Amino acid sequence: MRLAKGIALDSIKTFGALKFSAMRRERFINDDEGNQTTEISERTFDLKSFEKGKMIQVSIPATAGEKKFDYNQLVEMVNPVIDTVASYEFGAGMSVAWYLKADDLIPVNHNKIQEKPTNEKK
Amino acid sequence: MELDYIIPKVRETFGRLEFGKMIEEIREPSRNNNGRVASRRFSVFSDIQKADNIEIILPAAAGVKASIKQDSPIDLVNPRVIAVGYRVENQSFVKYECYADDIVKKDLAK
Repeated sequence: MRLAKGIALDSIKTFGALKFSAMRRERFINDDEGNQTTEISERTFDLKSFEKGKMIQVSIPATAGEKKFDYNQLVEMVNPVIDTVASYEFGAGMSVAWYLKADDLIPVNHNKIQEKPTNEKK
Repeated sequence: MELDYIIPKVRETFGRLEFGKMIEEIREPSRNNNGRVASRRFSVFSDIQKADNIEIILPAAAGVKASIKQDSPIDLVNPRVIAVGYRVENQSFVKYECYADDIVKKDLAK
């Protein structure tokens, strides 16, 4: 099936808690001649996903600003959008890559996390 | 990045789902195609993803769903979406497959 209208990602069920790890790369805008400028278009961050048990990459537009979170800071994505790209290489066969974009990365409200254990006790 | 599966928000992704019918029984590999049924593929209709049919793959233990009539509203139990690549000559494309634990009649009282 095609899912032409996209997939609304359930970030919490899919990735679980996300901890900030590091910035992976900055993508720069190319000018009309194809030369790289110093203007940043987006930044990609590595986050530790506790549901998948591995690092996931999320791209945030440069307008969201630089993200200077501490290592292992709990974060959440604002409006995450997930999509796929397939590629075929002779000999290696088909491969599908998932791409994750979001409008922003924000720290999780610590009060919310502290509330959870007290609710469970009840 | 590689992901084994993702979990969609059913209401936002599929909207209202209505049952179609079972379209395929996927059997375990055997010499003369009479292996045990491993899973079944069902066609369902979505009012958001109108441009294509939705196919849900259930484990064999979920049954043939003979009790659910066509066009009756349904819910998915634990849906998860995987991406599968395929090739047409020199171009590659992605199709999605949705696996679920079960299809149940929607409780309209809720």
